[in-house]
Amino acid sequence: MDELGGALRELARQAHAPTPVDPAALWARGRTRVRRRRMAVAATAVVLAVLGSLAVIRPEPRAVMPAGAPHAPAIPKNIYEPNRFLAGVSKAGPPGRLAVIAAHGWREGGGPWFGISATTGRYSELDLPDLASGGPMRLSPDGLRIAYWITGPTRKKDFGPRTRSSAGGPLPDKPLAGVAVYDTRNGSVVRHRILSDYGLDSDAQVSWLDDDTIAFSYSVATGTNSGRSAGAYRWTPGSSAPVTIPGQPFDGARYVPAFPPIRLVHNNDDATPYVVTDTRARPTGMKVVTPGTDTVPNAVTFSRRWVVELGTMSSPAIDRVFAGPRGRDNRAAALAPIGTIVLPRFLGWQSDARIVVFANPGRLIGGRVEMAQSQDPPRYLYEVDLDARKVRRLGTIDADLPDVSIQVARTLLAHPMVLGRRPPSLLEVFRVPLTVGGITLLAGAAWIVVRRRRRA
Amino acid sequence: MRSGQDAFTEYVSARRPALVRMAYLLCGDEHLAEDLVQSALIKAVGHWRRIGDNPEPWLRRVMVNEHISRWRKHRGRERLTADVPDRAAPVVADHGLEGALAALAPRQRAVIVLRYYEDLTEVETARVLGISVGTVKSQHRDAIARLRASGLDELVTSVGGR
Repeated sequence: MDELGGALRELARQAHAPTPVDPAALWARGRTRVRRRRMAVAATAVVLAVLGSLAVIRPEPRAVMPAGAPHAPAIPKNIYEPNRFLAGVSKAGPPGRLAVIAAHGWREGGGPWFGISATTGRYSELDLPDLASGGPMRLSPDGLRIAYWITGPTRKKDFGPRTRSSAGGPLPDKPLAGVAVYDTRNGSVVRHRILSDYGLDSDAQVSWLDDDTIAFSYSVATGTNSGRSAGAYRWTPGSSAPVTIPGQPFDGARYVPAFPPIRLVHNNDDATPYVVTDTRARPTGMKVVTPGTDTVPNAVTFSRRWVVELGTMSSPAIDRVFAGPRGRDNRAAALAPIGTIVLPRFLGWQSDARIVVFANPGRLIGGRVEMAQSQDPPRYLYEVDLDARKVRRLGTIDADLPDVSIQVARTLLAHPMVLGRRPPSLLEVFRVPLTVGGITLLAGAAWIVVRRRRRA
Repeated sequence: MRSGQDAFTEYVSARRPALVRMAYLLCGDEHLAEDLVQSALIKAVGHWRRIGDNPEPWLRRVMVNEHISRWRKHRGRERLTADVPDRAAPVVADHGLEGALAALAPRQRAVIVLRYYEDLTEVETARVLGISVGTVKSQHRDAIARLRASGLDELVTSVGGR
């Protein structure tokens, strides 16, 4: 025994004898403490679970993207896909004049749509009233209105007989029952309801003829896989009832944009484009077919002076931009390729001799197509000068956006573009709930650690 | 077969005085020492099924941690007392040890008590305090230096290299 140990024992012995205690009373107090702690742990776990669920699992809140500094109406050079948790216009209010609309790329068969403000760059989800899910939207040339198909009541409640649309496309969740136009400035909606037994086929089409007038065509679902064509109509919402467009074969027709003020409807069956006038659809007398065949190119666009085709007309067999001046007989003269971009998609006319397209980042190099190697490379936005036969890169478009859904306010193409704001990321949208959730989890973890240390 | 409560009762009856003595060395106050022990024993009830076979190490750890925790909570505060101590301060028997221990930080004091009163090794002391063996060594070295500075050279000479 060393001296320090002995001294400590001697010191300890000097302490008074401890006050007697009842071990049974200590045991009872210990049991009470255990019960209280268990209740506290259970209550804390419930609170943590509730807070965690609210903060992390719940998909709300949907964030309203802050608007940028207002600028003159313009189309952004860079178009991104926003995440799916941006607030919709039903919550955030009308988005104002739009420069771009497109469908999200994350859902097969056409996801929800979003729009980009022409003056602030703000992204908004377009959860328009009565919107038929998966249905198309069309942005008016001035970006002030959106035409879309709506759902509604049908004569027969059972929507079951039709298993797919006549075009084989995806069925909407509810039957199509009309067309509507949404005003992006005040959020008002003008509806034209179409009453039918089972609703309309989901391949119904709608297009803007000018800033105020739409053309639409549809088939009525019959309970079988083939619908019954109900013709085509032109309609100026708010000023008149829809008027049948006579004298045209509209089944399967595609509406083709043209340089204003020509209104064109391109028909697939006979490759003849029609001009829609106030009273009828009149053939233009122009005809464009792929040379050597009698088939219609994938896309065709006419101006007063130019015929432009985005398709495959020469080797190598890949879609490119072809253009040629209109001949005296209104037919296209020889169409020659412009530039080396491949797989272009038409966005609109910038002037009567300049178009804007977007295309995959592949290029024609030495007669061979070189596609981009990286995964999900952005697509590029190009300006094609038909007079100078030159291509200039303007910006980028997110690779995930479905090609056919991307539309711009065509009137704004003539104005200088702006850089474009990036929509908030998922982390930014969920910053507050993630922070709360993170702090909650950290606090829970810290509490557990402290509790363990105390137990030890 | 003994129930948990019976074993607890038996243990408290047999070992509580020893626990109070150790607690007294840790805190230097008889009332606080009793309170420390009582608090530790109440906490032990919830863990008795696990620690019942050998509760002493667990109780030591809880008492030391509780004492350090209380010291942190109340340091810098004066404590009021209604009564003047009725016991004369020990003059010879403690070799000035009580005062010297009071001058140590609670963890240093705990190291000294565990090492020389409870005869624990450095590893066991580290385990009770929840610190590394290296920290135990440094705390021990500092504590011994302070005891020497308090005039307890004779007491600590034999333990300098321990």
